[in-house]
Amino acid sequence: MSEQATIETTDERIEIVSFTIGEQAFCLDIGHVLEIRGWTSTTTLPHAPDYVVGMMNLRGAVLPVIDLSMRLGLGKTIPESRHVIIIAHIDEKSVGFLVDAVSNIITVNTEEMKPTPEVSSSRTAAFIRGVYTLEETIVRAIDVHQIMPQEALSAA
Amino acid sequence: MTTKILAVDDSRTMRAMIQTALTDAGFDVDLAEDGIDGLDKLGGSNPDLVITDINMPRLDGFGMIEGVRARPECASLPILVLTTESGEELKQRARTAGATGWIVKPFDAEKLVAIINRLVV
Amino acid sequence: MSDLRDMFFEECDDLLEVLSTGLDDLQNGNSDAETINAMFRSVHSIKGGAGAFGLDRLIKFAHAFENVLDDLRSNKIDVDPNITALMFSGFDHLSDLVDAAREDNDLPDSEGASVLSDLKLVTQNANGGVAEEEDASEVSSDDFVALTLDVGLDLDLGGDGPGDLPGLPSLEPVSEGASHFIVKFAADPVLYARGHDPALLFRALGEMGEMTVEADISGVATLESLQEAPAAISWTLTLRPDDGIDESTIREIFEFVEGQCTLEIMEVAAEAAPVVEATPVVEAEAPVKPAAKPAKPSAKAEAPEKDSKQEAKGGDGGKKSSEPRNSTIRVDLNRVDRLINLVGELVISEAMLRQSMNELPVSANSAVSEAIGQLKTLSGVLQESVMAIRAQPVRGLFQRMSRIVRESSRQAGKTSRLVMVGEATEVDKTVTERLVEPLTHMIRNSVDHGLEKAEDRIAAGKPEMGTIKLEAAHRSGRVVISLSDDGAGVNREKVRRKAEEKGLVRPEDDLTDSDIDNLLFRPGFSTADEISQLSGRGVGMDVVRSEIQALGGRINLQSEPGKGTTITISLPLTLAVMEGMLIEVAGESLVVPTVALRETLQPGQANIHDFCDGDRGLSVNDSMLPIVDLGEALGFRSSLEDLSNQSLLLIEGESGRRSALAVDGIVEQREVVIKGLEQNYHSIPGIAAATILGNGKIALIVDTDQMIPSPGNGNPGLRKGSELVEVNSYV
Repeated sequence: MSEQATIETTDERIEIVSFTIGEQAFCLDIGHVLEIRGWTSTTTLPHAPDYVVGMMNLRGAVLPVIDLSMRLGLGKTIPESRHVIIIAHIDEKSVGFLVDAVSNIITVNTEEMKPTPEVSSSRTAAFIRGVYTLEETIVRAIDVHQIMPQEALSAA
Repeated sequence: MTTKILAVDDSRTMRAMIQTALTDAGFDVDLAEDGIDGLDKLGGSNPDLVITDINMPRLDGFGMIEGVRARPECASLPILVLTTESGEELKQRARTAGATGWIVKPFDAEKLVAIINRLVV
Repeated sequence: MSDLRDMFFEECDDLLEVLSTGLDDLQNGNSDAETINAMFRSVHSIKGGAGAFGLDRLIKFAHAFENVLDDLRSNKIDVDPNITALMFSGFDHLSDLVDAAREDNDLPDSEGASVLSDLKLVTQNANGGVAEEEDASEVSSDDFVALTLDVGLDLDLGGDGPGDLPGLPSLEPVSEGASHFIVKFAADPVLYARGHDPALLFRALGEMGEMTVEADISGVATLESLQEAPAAISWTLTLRPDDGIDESTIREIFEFVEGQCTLEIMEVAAEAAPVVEATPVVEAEAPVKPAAKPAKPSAKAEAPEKDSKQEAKGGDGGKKSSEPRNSTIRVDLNRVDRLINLVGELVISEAMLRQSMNELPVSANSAVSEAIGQLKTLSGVLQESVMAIRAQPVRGLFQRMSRIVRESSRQAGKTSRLVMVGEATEVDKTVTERLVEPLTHMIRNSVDHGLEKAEDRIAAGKPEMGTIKLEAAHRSGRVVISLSDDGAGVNREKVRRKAEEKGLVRPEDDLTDSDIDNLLFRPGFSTADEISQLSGRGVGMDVVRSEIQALGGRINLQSEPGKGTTITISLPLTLAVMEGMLIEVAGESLVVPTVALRETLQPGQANIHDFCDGDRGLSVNDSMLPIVDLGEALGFRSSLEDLSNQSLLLIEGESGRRSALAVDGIVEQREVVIKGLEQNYHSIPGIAAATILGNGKIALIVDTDQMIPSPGNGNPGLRKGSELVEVNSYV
């Protein structure tokens, strides 16, 4: 868990886990990914943001599951057994990302990452670090630090 | 056979430092926490050399050295005093008690090893 | 080296504790010679370790402190209140220096300077007023900083390796024409008795230049008699020294055998080197090792046991010698936590197994159910035992507080003393660590606001010196820590006025004395007219309360005008397990901590009364409690029209206030393993933590205090917090 490849360093070959939400492809640095699991039911959290599905039990650890589609503004996911949870470790915390399907593990060169288009919405700008073009598919690189659930400033 | 050293000090930091320094130098190290403990462990440890602190609870270094010397089989066992004290009076007391040498803390590992090598065959 | 450094600072904590205990004994007149010895050794060990890490300032201060303790133990000075006070200050500064060194910080030069000079002055006066102390201390500290070896042994041994036997000196004749030394040496029997070995002395000498050795064995009759008459041999060594070697360097080699041998050193001028035919080395060596070493065939066999002994560390090095010594080991806290977690998992797995067994269609096989029953018992005992590892006495924590009392009293210009009761009470280590800040703040508050000024105390017929009492005890499965002062008590009129000014309560609110006292825990409340240096640091008692709550604890304040104030903190024994009531709300399973639970009941509609905005109250024994619809409060669903099918849980909070939680159903009471939410998420309003149920599902643990409305309390767990406050006028 301690080793976290940081994507920030330039000119480096890294492995990414690519996955899909709806029609779009996304990816995470494999250094953050602990494991991939099928959908399991979660416990609803009170007063949680809409993108927090709930808490799951991962071998005794309690961790939040994020509906990545909702987080990215792509609509709410109604979870069912075909869905996948990517367990990631980011900023000392473990979290599950609910996605449609995991596609592949690919080696890329960090230099090949292109910036997101200028027309970006604030959400795109905040959560997408850039894009890789892989066999004519645009794969969006998630900014793992930004995507983590933020504590509301006012608790009430 | 590896040279065995019994180090007696009430400070666990000091014990650890001595142990680290001497183990790295290839010695076999046993540890004791004060004079009584040192005398207790003497038989089982059967060291080739003893290193002891002076200020210790229950039985201080002087008392322990006397206790060691009182044992016939340890009559000529080298005993090094390792202490922060450097007073001539105390040195003389240690000498009278039967100490072999006197080293002032903080010690330098290399020198300590060199001195030990000079005292054990 | 950093491990050793960590170990040193850990040891410093223990040593400071010994010192602090000693100071307390000294102050209370319970000291004896061993008390002062133990204190001396503590400071001495800190100095020794500090020397190893080059912590100059710590060395200097510990040295001055140690000198005073040395004067005390040699009765050069007597214990009096001034000395005790000085040593308390010394202790405080020593702790600061240790802390600063630990954090690699440097304290401002001015800090502790007066204590240091006072300590030096004491030693100076004790030793006949000779101002030698100033110099002596400087010199000594330099000694510690510099690598210092006794000159008698401090030789440059060059590349002498361990395997190098005392290969005595080259037998080649010393070259003619150079100046050289002739050393005549004959050992007294006592020399051997002190562990010296002439051969090794010669080897050291041999490293100073070219050397030849001649042994005169004329006095030796037989080899067997060597041991009895070792002095019968005398040696003549001829050394042609390397550069920089002079007579004094040579003498240094023999310093420690001085008085145990006959030694003659002559410097011979350039010509006529008396080259002597060397006697075979074997013979020279022969007397050197009398048969002093028994064979040690058992050494290897004992090794494992010895290893384990080496691990055993006595953290009680400073205790009185009469006390039995408990053998202890030091273990990384992470390992313990891992073990605790694993055992927690084991308990959960055991529960899951039991549940699946119950669901089996076949009638319970008695052998299996018996085994499972045993497993349940064992895992319970195992869990308890593992939890006990984390427990440690609150003594260290309390001792830190005694310093806070001293400091705040000094700053507030009041005299006060701290009385500690039940320091041996054991509490989870994390709890003691996290209690430091809240307790510090509470004590500052007590000294600052609780204790009256000296003249007021005298006028009230109280002793001028105020008493602060810190007490710990185990009570019905919880740890209770109370802090009381014999001050003026809470000025309720003033508190109430202040609360009204700040809009926390309304003038027409009917508040009990206890209600008013506990207003002090409200966010932003401060009674001090002027913000004092002590407690007015922008932190109020509300922060203290939230810290205690974060530990799963409750805090309560009781005050009696003119007599004093007592703040009671009640904490769970361990942070990892608690007793809870499993309930269901809106399809979710939740746990309500049993500590807050007073009663469960099925209401008749007649007992439920409607108020404005959908608020409802429950009439119980002539009083009206607010009903909190848990499903609504947690945002799981909207408010239920009809509560008659609901179960009600009567809960009571820290302040003694109650409310009735409406839930869909009560399942069972059970012990749950607490899983923090902050580790992977963050805190959630209305929820204290989570747990994992037998079926592997997560259940959230309700934060009951946040489910009890109170005047002006913006309980974040309550969706309708502000409106529910209205209900209080009926309580």
